[in-house]
Amino acid sequence: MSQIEFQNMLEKYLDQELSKNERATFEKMLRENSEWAAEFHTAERLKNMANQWRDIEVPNWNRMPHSLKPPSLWRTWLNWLPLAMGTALMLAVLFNVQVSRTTDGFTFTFGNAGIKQEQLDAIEAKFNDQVKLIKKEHSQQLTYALNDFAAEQDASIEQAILDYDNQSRTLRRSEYNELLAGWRKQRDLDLQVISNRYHDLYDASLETRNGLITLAQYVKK
Amino acid sequence: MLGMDSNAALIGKAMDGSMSAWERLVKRHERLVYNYTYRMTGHADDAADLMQEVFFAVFRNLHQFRADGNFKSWLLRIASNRSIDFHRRKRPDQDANDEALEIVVDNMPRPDEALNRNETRRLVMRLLEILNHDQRIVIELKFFQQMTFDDIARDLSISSNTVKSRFYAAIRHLKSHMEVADVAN
Repeated sequence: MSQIEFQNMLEKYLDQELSKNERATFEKMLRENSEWAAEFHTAERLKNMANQWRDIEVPNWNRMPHSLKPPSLWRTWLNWLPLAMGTALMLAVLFNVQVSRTTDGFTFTFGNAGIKQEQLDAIEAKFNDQVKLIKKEHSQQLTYALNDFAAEQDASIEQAILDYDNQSRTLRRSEYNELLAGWRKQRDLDLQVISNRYHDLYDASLETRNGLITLAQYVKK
Repeated sequence: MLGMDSNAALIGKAMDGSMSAWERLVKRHERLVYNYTYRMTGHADDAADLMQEVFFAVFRNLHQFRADGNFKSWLLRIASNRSIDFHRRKRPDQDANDEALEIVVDNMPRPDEALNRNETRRLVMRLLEILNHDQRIVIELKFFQQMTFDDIARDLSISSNTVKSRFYAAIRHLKSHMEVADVAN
């Protein structure tokens, strides 16, 4: 028998779930092991003492403590009062609330309130001046920027025209040179033809003159 | 028929604001709770304070009680949890009171000796004082409330093995003291 088996039996015994056979086995187990028997007797004595326990009378006590009663309305409000006051104080600090006494009574002012109208007008005029200055500066800057841009564009276009002109001129010069070369070649050819013809004509006229001379000499004779 | 109201009926009325229903419910169970807290704390004043805490917790959690549940079991579960909190708060350094041993030895009757009510009560209290709170609560629920180990485990939100471990540790602890007492007598 193991300790686990003993404990299982003891638990069953305490819960009154031991069968007749199990009870016999358990009793045998206890006879054979004094340690287990001592543990069993301890449990058994505790069980008996628990059964013999007679309840103690409950002393008088307040079964309905105040905390269980529904709080009255004013007490509910009173509970919230510190929180409300704390919140109000925090808001007053946060929004710079000021109380001033005037001839009409008390005046509550918030934040920057309390500045006179003239000061407000001066602030507004200053603000408007600043706006104008900023606008003017912006306008000038814009003009400069546009002018720079235009000048840049003009220079760029002019350069492009010059480049185009140079390119055109070079192209035209090349074409002209080609044309001139062709024309000169043709002229040389034409001059050669004319020269050849002239020589032919000269030779023919010379031959004719020589024939006439021969004829004249013959006639003379 | 007013006195025959079931726990569930009284709880329902108490939740509807009936203070008399609440009072009847408390009166019906205060003896159980007071004796439980008395055995757990060992002091009448502490027991009364703890009982008040238990019923306060019960009142606040009435809406969580299921109408088909066992009120006594639910009440003991709350009492156990409150008892653990109370013990941690009240006496964090007073577990396993060894001073109780001498008194137990002096008062321990022989096994065959019959005890009267007061002697039994005194002896039980001395024995429980020897145990630490974890062991004491298991012994209380096992022997005085006659709960099964599984029920104890569920109520204390611990495993059944842990309950058994605490139970046998308590038994061995008490056994050694009882043996000393038996020898002395």
